[in-house]
Amino acid sequence: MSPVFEGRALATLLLVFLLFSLNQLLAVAEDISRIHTPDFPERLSEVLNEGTNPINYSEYFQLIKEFFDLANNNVSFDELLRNPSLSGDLDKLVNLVSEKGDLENAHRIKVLRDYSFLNPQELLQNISSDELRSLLQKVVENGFLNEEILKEISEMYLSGNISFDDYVKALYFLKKTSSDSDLVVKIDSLLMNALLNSLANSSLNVLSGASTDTQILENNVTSEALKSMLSFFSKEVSADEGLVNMLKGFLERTNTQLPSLPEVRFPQFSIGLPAPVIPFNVGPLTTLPLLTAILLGVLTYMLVKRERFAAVLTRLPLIRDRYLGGPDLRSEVIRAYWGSVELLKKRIPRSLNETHREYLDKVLMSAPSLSESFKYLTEAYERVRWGAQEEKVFINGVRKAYEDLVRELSKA
Amino acid sequence: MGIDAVIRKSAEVLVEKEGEVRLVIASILAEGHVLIEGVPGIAKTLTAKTIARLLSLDFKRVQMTPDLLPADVLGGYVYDAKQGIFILKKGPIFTNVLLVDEINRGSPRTQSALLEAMQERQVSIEGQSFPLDRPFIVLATQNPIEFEGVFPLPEAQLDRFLAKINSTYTTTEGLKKVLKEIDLIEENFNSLKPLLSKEEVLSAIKEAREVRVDDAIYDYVVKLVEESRKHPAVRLGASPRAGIALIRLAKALAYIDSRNYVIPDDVKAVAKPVLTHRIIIKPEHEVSGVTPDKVIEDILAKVEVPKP
Repeated sequence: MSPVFEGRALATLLLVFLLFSLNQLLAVAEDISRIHTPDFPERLSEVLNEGTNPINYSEYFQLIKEFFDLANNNVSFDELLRNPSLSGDLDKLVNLVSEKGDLENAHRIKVLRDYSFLNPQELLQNISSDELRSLLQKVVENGFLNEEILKEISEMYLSGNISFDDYVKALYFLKKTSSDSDLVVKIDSLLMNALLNSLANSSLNVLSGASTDTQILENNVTSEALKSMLSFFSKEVSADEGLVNMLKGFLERTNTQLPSLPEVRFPQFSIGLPAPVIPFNVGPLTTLPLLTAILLGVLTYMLVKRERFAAVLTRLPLIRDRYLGGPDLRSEVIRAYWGSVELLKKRIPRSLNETHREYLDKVLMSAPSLSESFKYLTEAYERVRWGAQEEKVFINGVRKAYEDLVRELSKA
Repeated sequence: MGIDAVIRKSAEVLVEKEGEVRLVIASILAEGHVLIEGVPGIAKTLTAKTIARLLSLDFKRVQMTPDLLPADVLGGYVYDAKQGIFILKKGPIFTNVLLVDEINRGSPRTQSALLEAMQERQVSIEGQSFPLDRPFIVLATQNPIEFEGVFPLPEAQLDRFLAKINSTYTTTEGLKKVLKEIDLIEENFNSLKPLLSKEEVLSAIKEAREVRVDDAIYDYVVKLVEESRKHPAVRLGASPRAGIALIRLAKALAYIDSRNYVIPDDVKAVAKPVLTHRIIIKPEHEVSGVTPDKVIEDILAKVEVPKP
């Protein structure tokens, strides 16, 4: 057997062995990934089911639906607060929203209810924005409360210049100091909108958290609540489009079965033979030294034959370009030239300030056997790199020159 | 018949002057002026005359002396007694190739007038402007060993020369060839016929300007120029005009080599001619033997050639 064939056969065997080992490792790894961590919940519903969790989602969505139904039936905010039963429901909702961790919306709902008990003086004093306070004082002193003022306050809130608390205090202040019944109705409507927006945002938070939980999404109460919300916001001209779209999205999901994620499997090959049975017990500690020995063997072989490996490595991009369709001729020529320089400079050093022609002169002087192929590569490189004359370069000639050069170098 | 034929033909007259001929022709193609520094008797005038004749260009010569006036170079209005009027008498500057011998012997006033005309390519006489013919190139010579009775050119005026050529003696073999073949050389010179017409020269100038310069070449030139200013022995480094000159001359050199693209070798080849008269060495380094050429060699060795 010739040494070349011997080397190739050994390399092939090693490659097959490594591929087989890798395949086995992948199979084991895939099985491990299927094992679920003990005592850790796999699904959200395991955590949120009614038996173990104090939050009652059916009741929550029932209450949300109730308030949106009231709004759809034109019940005013004032009536809502005056009705002891509804006021009690609002309290329940505050507790439910607060318990599920949505403190911001719980606070907003609470604020909307609590500030109704304050008198105008208290409301004005508690407003933290100086600008808003002075505006309200002027409105009261000059008596020019109108829709424009309401619009201005709403814009201040929407642009982030005043807080939600100040916004609600201002609305209550104006409601309590105004004698214009039409304006009072308008203010009431703004307060109702603030309440319903907080409720809708709270619902979205719940639904987003339960995006994989079919128990919540497939619940009929949830679906009804979403319909009621959409019915309200579809009548509102100034409704937040993003919020409406999200509600629509969740409503669609409550009506359809969620598709399960596709299963990902590593491709595995099978040689159709039973797995080899090792007649003795291989301890887990034997595997590591065995793999280390193989790795060291491969590295030693590569070290001994490093020049040949270097030549092969520099050829890899060219081979890839040829068979898989390289980026372009220009890149291939430039890579071939610099690949040959990399190989040559171990024998004929090249400094960084040397031009391609200067280096060619050195090669022509030092290694006449390589001069023909390297000259061809240099000329092609010059045309392509500096002249952008790809059309004047014969790519097969470049490939042949490069292969000749590599062959000549590996002989040496 | 092209530029390479001109270079080949000039070799029949000029011995061991191919490098200088190439640079002078490259300067003509780049429409820049050349300062030739060399001792007397080394065929500076013959070089200029030969190139001018082969390229069908007008040739004139001015010998600078301290009493030469600007009007002697530029021209002026003189009284014509026959007609009884002042007529314009154009000076020797109205030509294509002007050889200004020993430019440093001229008075600063005359030097200044000449260099201004070189820069602007037009002459103002009595308030009237006269554009100079194209191509227009001044080949100025100066003797490096004379210090008495000369007015060295200021740095700002030196910067106006595209390139400076250090003309040297021929080798022993070259000198022997000149001595043996002087009659043949003179005969060859007298029988020189233009190889290119003026229109063809102008067309070559246009084509040389269109030579491709890769972005990496510009980066390389920028690095060379900037490095010339950082060198510890340099008092005054290369100006932006020097960078422009490097690119122009490199393009012309590429054109002479029948290439329509510039390679780093072109820039390296023109680095000394373009930069040597633009770099001023600090006195303390000058006394220790540092020359502009040495500095340029340092810079070329330091700056990496563009890769890949």
